[in-house]
Amino acid sequence: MEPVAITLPILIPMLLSLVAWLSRGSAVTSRWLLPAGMAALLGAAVWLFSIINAAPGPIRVDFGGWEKPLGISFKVDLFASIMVVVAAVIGFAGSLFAVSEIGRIIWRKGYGTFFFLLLAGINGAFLTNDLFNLFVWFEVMLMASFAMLVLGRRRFVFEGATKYVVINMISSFFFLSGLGLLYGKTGQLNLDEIALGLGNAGGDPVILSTAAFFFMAFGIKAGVFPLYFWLPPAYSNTGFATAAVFGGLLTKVGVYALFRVFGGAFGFLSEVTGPLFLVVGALTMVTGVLGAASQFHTRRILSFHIVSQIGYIVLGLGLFTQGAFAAAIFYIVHHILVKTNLFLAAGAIAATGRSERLEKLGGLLKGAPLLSFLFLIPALSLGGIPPLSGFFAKFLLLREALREEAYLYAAIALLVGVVTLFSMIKIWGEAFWKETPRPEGIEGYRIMQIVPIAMLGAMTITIGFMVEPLFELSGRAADQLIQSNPLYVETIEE
Amino acid sequence: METLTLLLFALAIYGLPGMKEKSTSSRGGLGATLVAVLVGTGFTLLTMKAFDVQISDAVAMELAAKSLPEAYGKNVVNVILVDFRALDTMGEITVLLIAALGVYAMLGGYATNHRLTMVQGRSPVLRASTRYIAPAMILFSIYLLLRGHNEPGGGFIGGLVAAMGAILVHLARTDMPLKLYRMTPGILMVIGLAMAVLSGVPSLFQGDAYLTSVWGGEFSLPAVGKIKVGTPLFFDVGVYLVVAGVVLMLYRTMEEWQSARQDIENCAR
Amino acid sequence: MEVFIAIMVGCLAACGTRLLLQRSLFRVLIGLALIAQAANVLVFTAAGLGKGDTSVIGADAKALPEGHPDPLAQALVLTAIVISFGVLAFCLVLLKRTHRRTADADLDALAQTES
Repeated sequence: MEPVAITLPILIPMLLSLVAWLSRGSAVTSRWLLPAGMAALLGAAVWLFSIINAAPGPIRVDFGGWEKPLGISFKVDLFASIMVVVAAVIGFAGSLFAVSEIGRIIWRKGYGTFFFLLLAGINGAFLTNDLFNLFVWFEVMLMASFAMLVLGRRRFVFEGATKYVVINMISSFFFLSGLGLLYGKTGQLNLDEIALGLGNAGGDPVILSTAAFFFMAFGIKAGVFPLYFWLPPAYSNTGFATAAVFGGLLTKVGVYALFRVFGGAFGFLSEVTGPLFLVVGALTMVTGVLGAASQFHTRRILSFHIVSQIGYIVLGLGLFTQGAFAAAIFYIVHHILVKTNLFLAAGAIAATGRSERLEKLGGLLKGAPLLSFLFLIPALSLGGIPPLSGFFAKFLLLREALREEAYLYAAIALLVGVVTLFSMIKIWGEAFWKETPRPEGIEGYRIMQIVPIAMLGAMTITIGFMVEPLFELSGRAADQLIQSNPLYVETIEE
Repeated sequence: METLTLLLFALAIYGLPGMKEKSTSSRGGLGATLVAVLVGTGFTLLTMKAFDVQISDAVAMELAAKSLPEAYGKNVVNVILVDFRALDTMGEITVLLIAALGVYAMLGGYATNHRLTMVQGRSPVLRASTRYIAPAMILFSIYLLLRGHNEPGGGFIGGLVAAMGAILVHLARTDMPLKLYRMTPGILMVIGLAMAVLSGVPSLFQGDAYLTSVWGGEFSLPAVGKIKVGTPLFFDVGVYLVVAGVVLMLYRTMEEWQSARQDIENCAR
Repeated sequence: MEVFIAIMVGCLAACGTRLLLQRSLFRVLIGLALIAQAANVLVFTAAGLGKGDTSVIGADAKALPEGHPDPLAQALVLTAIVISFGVLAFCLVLLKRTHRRTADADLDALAQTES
């Protein structure tokens, strides 16, 4: 059954995307096929996770039946299967929101098709263990996100999209160049084989430039300092469901690739890359949070917070210990759920005030108490208030930083957490606390918009109560990630 | 492929008549040139360095060795594309499909005016010859597709040739039913991708990995030679259909959008 | 031969970078096409150039002759070229739409829409 379970996360969205294209003319089917398909995907993802969780180690499938390293292999470990589950959750939440948000015309243009293919690309990127295949899935994901971005007819959609497209093509260029050099060097495309082939080829200039290329390629996608400038305009000028899925998932695919490559095959460079990632992570945190502080537009604030939160995760990669990896994996899961939720909440907020500018919003505490409560959950979690998921995510990471005696970085992380909280309070004070500036009062939102927000909020709370087992799980995921490169298991345990 | 890129660029440049090209030499020109030269030098050195490296091409050698006995194909590159690394090709045609559908969506679908019926201004020689050339191109494309496993050819190049044949029909403005013409690209793409994706499913029922080839009997065609029927063949037909559909859809949307805009401009005058 | 190709990759990358650093979106796009080509050639050459010219097994032969070019690299480059073609075609249309909207295919005009 394992080949089926590993294939389904790609097969389901691929096939449903075609059904979605054929049925895009029908008002009902085009809308409801998307959440229904996402629910099926979620089921398949949970099934895959339960198989991997029960197995003693990662499970490999060689596509086409060609034994590794001949063909393309997927090697599914806990980290990968956790990410597939989270992606399906986000896809489900985003699609529920899209049902009420997206207009008929955009469904007709194939929104559902692109959404499904986006998930197919993301899942492929999570599951594959082949470098070129990763490139291909990245391109599928990017192309689908390009198409989703330009579907909207908002005023600045094309401008935001142009920057996003150009910067991502540059990222692809770096990826492909690095991949070519690495293939020339090792003759392999399978990540495990590459790890073996590289051995400890430390000072080789070709290998070092390959590492630099991969850092650029994945760093652009992840939105780390100084490669994040494309992110806020692209994410704040599109639909809310789209922005929520992008904000939750796309940057994290880049982060995931950073972990896979620099935590795996390039692990032997950790003495160079570790401190580098610490600095990059700290700068990403600080610049992101400062960028957010200067904004007065809900989604721009949230977009800059994506950047700053990515900084925390990269910090975990920089610390380069099993505990830090575990904390980072925990952080990624928490962050994806919370960030998507905040974007969806921003969508509901915007629906009540017909604006995203804080000065034009207000009165939501009185007018929409349920939404106010549901907004508080992810907002406080992002700010790191106990007992929500964000507190534990930050706590685990900080504990690891202190253990590694990276006091400076721990202090920065703490400080950035405080500013993040301030930022959330700013949205709260303006949009909820203050009286509405609109003479006609606030408008209602649709109940369908609340459903995914409540769902994700419930998950955030659940994580807060289930920290022990979840951290144990991410610990095992981190173990498997480290063991993916047999060559430096010893170095890391020292 | 290069011809296609050129064709697309030609269509696009055509649409940028009044584009303002500001002089960039005044600001940051020197610095940009310097950066460019540095990047270029860096890449030259890297490529030189990459040559020095002793390659272990064990994987590639083994693929070449297994191509004929185990995957029943003499064209190693094609066998890699449709069998050894079929998953990459599946992603590749998916990217093409999204690009075409995205362009279609961005330009608001096909334009609504029916200029296809206008025939004036086209060379009668072209129209007359197209009646024979276009079907011949389609036939040739199928020939390319079928022999691709053993000789140069394959689904990709076959699909391109087929699309070129169809574009030729359009250029010559022969009286092809407009509706059929508009429906085809989308349908071709969907059927093609479905074929490619589903061709990997039978092996799942046997408990093998996705995309493991399942081979059936052999038959021979005149001019093509012996063909072994199996799931990789279906995969390649899928690639053929997607490529043909994508090229047609890109061409159709851009061409029709362009002529619709010209009509608007003409009316404005 | 090797030196020639290395210089060609460098030239492609340099020209592409120079065009990328301009503000005209159309030039940026051509720059993207050029660097994509540079990467493709790089993949191809990094795998080593064989002496032979084809990856098709002869009529009676059982395997490729000695010194054949790396068929895997050829397949990878083919895939990469097609992908970059698809993305570029999309970008081209995106550029046309952006141009129509801002009536000025210039990055400076885009910068003003930031806030």
